[in-house]
Amino acid sequence: MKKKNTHSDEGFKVPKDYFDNFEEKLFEKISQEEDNSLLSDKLTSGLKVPEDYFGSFENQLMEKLNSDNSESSILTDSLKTGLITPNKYFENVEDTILEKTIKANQETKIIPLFSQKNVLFIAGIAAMIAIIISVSINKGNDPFNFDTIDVADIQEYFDEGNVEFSDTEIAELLDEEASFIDTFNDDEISDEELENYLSDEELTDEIIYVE
Amino acid sequence: MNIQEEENLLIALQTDKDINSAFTKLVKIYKQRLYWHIRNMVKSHDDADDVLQNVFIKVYKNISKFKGDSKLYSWMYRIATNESLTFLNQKAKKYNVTNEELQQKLIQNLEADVYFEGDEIQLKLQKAIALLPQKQQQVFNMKYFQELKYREISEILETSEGALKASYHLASKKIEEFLKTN
Repeated sequence: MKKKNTHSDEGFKVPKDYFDNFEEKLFEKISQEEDNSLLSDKLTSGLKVPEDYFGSFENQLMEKLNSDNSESSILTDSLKTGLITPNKYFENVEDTILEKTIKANQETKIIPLFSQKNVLFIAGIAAMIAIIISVSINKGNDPFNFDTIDVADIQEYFDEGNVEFSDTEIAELLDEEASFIDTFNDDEISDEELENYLSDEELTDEIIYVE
Repeated sequence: MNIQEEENLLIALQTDKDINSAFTKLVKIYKQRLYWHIRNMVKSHDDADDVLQNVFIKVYKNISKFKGDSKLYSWMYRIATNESLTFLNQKAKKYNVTNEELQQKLIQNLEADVYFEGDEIQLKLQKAIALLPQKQQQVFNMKYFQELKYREISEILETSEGALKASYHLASKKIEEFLKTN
């Protein structure tokens, strides 16, 4: 299965760049003899070629062969395997690939807008707005106020130890409303009142005795 | 592309600001070579197109992890080979057939494929290749169709050159035999 037959292996050699210049020289000669040879061809076969066909064919072919390795690889691959591609496939596939890689990557860079930091920031604002709205809506007809709380509830609240007051604090609260000293102040009850109180009571002798 | 150019391209591919232009260049250079590498394995153009796109997407996503232990092109060829094999295995599973049966099916499809213009001998060649073991198929495709050097194939398949030469020789023999008898 030999693919290439390079004649240099067999000992034959050609001048440097011979094959590169061969076509150029040949077409130069053809154009020089155009009047004679082309005319004779036309006369004998009646077949024509488009103007400058050979010149442009040469350029196109050489362009294709010299462009780069990939171009020649497509040529050999197609020729050997018989597999072909749709028209302009390689031009289109490049765009498709770039769209799925570079462009997709650029689009995903927008994602940081939804980063954890921003989400927390936005969620914070949303929570604040929600609280403000709920507070302002309930302000007008708020069914809860201090008067609606049952005394039992307040008592339970204190009993469960939710609020802890020291004795001093409680004393301070009570200080203004009640005076414990006053209770024992003799001036509060006059002798006369005491006398009346005692005289109204039905006291037995034993009690008086004990006292 | 020489070694220096490949190194420069790799540096650009691993630099954030240059990656896009470098990747565009990489796609331009390798799209056709990788396409034919894949196409020779999966046979259908549409499948080759899918796999080729996946390969480049993988290259793009993983280029930052590429350590340069091997050459860039052999790394890419390796991805293409693995992707193609995975694709074929999935296809075989989907149709509930063995890999060998799948190969025959692919060749049958090729006859009706609008993107196959081969003559009778080319179709026979494809049939002969389809009968080879997977490794020999890979070596034959890379050596005969893609004209890669044994050194390059060795880097891609991570196999010694000696083993590759033996594989290619065996594959060629089997194909010749098939072509003679059929």
